Amino acid sequence: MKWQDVNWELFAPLIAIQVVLLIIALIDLGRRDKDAVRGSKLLWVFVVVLVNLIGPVLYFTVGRKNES
Amino acid sequence: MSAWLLLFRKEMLESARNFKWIWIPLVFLALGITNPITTYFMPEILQAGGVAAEAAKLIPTPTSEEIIVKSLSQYGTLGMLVFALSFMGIVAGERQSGSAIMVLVKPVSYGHYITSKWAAMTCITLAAVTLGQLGTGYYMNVLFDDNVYSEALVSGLVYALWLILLNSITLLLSCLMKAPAGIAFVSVAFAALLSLVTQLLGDAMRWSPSRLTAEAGRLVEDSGAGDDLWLLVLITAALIAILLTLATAASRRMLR
Repeated sequence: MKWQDVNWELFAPLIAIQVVLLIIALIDLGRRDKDAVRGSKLLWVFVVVLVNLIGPVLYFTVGRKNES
Repeated sequence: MSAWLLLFRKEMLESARNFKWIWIPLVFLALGITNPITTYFMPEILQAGGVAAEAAKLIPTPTSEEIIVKSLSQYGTLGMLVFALSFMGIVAGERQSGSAIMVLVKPVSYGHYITSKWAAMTCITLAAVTLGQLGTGYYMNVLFDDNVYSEALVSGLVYALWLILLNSITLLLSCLMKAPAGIAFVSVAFAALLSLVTQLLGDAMRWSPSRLTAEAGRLVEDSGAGDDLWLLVLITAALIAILLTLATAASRRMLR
């Protein structure tokens, strides 16, 4: 399957979801104090940006401290 | 009642502020739409993986019922994990940060405190499952030209009841235990154990709420609702009520 053959219309929503999750994860990360994040903030930036879909989910579930 | 509404609004606002209202439904939507897409492209995926074109064609396309059931089972594994991990601190975290004390010094009943939290969790759960099922329905419509919205939504609703029960267990544990990781682990382990025992004992566990997952699948298939569906719904509702009562009692003891 070539690059041009991919039916992007089908995948666009998935990509959009991924982008939205990535952006809100980064916003949340940016707003937070160093102490309110488990592990280093820089590490989380990499995880959120590089790991597709799972990265932001991991950040939201286990990356934030004192979640209530 | 107005005190309850105020607490409920506080919970909703908090879930919106820490983006729970955005990310949990989005994850379910992603789970819901990935499923029909991967099914649709399965022959090409297999070919790219080195399976011969002739062999790939032999694999039957799953029916739309099977695709919906598979979506549901993904909510049951990944979705359940997401809920357990994101709600584990719902009371324990507030106790640790001291905000629970701040709320409860005011003339607020413990029952209101717990049920408002439960209602907020339930709203998110219902929204997430509905959105995921709508996603599956939409892609079934586009890719397979199959209109299954109503089946997807009804089965999703039944499945959501199982997830809500698990959320109630997480809520109770959150009142009893301190370590958030332990709370998530115990509630996931409980769900796994209940499903396992239900499968092993068969008829003796006919009442088990974990059978809701199978019943949700049956609703989609032509066989229609099983005989036990309403029994299971009633039992699950009763269990949720018991869990909430226990959680109220536990929070009264722990938070004082």
